[in-house]
Amino acid sequence: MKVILDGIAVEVAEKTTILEVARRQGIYIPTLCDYGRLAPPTACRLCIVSIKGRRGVAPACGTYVEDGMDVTTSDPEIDRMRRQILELLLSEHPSACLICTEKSTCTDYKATIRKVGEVTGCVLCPNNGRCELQTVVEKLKIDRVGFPAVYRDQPVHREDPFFERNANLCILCGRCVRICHDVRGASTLAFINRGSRTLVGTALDKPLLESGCQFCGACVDACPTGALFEKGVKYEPLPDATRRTICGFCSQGCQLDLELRDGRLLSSSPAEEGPVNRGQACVRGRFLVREAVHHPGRVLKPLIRKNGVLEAAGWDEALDLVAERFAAAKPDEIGVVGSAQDSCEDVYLLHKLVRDGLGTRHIAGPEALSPQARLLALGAAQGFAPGLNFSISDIGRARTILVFGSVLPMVGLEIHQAVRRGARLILLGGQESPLLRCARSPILLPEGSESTFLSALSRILNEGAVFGDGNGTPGTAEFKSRLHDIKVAAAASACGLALDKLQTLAQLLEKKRPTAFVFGPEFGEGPGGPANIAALWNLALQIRGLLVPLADESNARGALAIARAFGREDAAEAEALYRAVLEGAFKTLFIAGPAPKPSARLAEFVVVRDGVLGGYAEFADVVLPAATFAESGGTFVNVEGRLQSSAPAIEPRGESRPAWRIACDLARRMGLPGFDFPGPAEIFAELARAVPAFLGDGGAPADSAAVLREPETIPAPFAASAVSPGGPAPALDHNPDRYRGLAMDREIRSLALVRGGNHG
Amino acid sequence: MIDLHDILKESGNHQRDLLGILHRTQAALGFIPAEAVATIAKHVHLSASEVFGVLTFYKSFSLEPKGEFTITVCLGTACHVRGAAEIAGAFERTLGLKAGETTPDGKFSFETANCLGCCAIGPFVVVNGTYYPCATSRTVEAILDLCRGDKASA
Repeated sequence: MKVILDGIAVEVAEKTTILEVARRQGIYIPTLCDYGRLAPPTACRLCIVSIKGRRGVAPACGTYVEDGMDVTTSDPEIDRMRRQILELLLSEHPSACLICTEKSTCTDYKATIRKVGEVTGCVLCPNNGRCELQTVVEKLKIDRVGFPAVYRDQPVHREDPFFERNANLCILCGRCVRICHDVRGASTLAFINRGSRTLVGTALDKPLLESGCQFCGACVDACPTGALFEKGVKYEPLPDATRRTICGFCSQGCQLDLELRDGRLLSSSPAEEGPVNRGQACVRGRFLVREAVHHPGRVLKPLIRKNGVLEAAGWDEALDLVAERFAAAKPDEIGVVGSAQDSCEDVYLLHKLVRDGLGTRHIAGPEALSPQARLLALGAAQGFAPGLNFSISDIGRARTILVFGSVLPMVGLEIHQAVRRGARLILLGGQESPLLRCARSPILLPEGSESTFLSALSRILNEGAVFGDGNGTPGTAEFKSRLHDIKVAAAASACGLALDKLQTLAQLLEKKRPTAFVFGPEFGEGPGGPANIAALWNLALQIRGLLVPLADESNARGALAIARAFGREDAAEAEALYRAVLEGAFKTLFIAGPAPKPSARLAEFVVVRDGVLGGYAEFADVVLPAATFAESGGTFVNVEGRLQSSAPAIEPRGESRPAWRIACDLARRMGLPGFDFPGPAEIFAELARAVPAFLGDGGAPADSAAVLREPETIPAPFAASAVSPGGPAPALDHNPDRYRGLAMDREIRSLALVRGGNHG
Repeated sequence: MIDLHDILKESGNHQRDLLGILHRTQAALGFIPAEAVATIAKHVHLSASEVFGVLTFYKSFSLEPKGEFTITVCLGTACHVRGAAEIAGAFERTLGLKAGETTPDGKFSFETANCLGCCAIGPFVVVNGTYYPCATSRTVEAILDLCRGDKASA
């Protein structure tokens, strides 16, 4: 259809708002309450336009175009009304600086005067230079406010970690309230009171810490003014550069924009273009990148133990020592613990170094204990190859969602959207979960009863008229006959559930499909783990459900694919290796990731490659400082199987080096060929040749928009029940709050407050 | 005495049930205790902040215990032009408090309303649900005496 915008005919699609058309045409319409993905609230009224043939004015953000519509976005009358609306807003907002005639010459002096208790003008406001209100005032050329000034005189809330709330600067656009409700599903912030006394606040005016806030920072990003402001950058200058990076804290692969000033990291915020996070982040991605990178506990120089004390040393000395000891050690006596928080390039070179240089088969990383690895193990034992790729957005289309334990933040948002669309959420365990409010009736299964619970559901579904969609799947007959042995009533009581509740659940699974099963690492761990995975696999096959295995580590999928290529992906072998580390079976240890720590030093020579001093460093003979994801970049495969890569955003701090470089340096000292790489790109090219999962469609190395290649899925059969091999596994610390040895939930005080004080 | 749990037991647990629950709680307890906010929120699957937003929006709800007699003076347009402000002023002077406050002895709470919809009988005063039409500043004492003397009428 055609519309006329300021006299120019424009071809537009249906369901486009006037504001969208104007923005596409490069016509400026002032807005304050319009924000990203949120539905237009038409609250601020600044975007009013006039439409020929219609009385009065219409808000451009909330008005769809119609064929032949003739819109005027600006004329003297509209401008006058907009200015009056803005003046009304400004009468309640400290505006002295906004309309000051000296404002252009004032900027040189603003650096320190911001350290004031009350913000009474822009030069005292932390948001100066980023403020949307400033932009709009500039555009509308306001030079006076024709209404008496009102100061709300509200106390500034400084009691919470990460950001402050200053209601005196709030213009009540509602962006924070709406993002908190519509997108985050938290509704921690709400409009309280009425009329001229309306404020954005919490229940009973309590601190956010006591109001169930997750501190995702979405409200801070949404705020057009300085009313919600990040404490960490309050007194910082404006950034002079922005770099895109892939968040390395968990496996979702959120894209973050890092703000820099003179090469220093100021803050991080979620990128709108991130395919997974789409402008959202969690407390880690939003507030902790800077904290982790600039943490005072970072090791910034190689350390060597001399006379019992770790002392700073040069890289040459440290690498020589390590290379010498590695060369002298017997291959079978070397144990290597890898990290799944390293980039693909890092992981590949570590495996290559271990294979070519150390000659040991004793290497394992947390990826081998991921739920994906457990699924692979089930397939390997029973002759099939489960597909591991999925899309987080598919969860949003599910009508029933079963969640075992806690979920990752973006998966949580997707679940929240599904529930808003009418999906049923069944939460099994995870009583602390922020999803709790979405679940009508959370179920707390007794420990170890998961497989009984799932098999009983299979059994009930088998009894009914419908055997899911699983008929015709290989192994159906055996599976059905095995189901007959299950006593549903006994199973229900073992799960602590009433029989009719179990039956209702089964009905739900049958009627409200598709179903998504979301599970984390704990689900496949322990003695009952393999049986859990097998029972879940079968139930999912029976009703064609979507399996959503969530690993915690940022590159668990990539590390698993690489480990597989080196034949080192087996969960049982990895558990055996961690046990051996704990029992002191290795004389030489290379600890490059999270490892179970014995109570005393058992190995003869321990090399720790980590970010901070802590954990294993106590036993270390040499500590090699590894750079963080922001400093080293690289390729990461997220939990969906999506490949994403980023360049280093900043120089490594101190003398720390990217993990891939440490591997190259070590290999060269040991006289190994094939470790001369100028950068990650060249490593990735070799990796893609060595590990076909990293090949793109054309056979060239996959680009950053690709997904991990998986083997042709053969028709997967129903699995026989599985038992856990070996003894009890040492518990690895699965916790996305841990990064490169830094326990952020303990060592970063503000996060410790959030983790400790969340009872909402 | 009815407590919150009885009210919740008899009420639905959807968002739409919130106002009813707040009204019943206010009626039963005379106010909405701060501790009740989270309990009610959990019941109707809302956040505590959202419930707090609703209950601070309406004048019918109070977070503070009310006096034995709640006196409301309508300040709607019709009452206003017939001198309701003077009646309100008389109550404030006589009782020594401002709108929204309660006397220290817990006897009287005084409130104003923007329009209670009985414009024909304005200006009027409402005491615990009893309407006193065509009030003047001279009837203020009489209304208070009535309250003090005859509890049954309230």
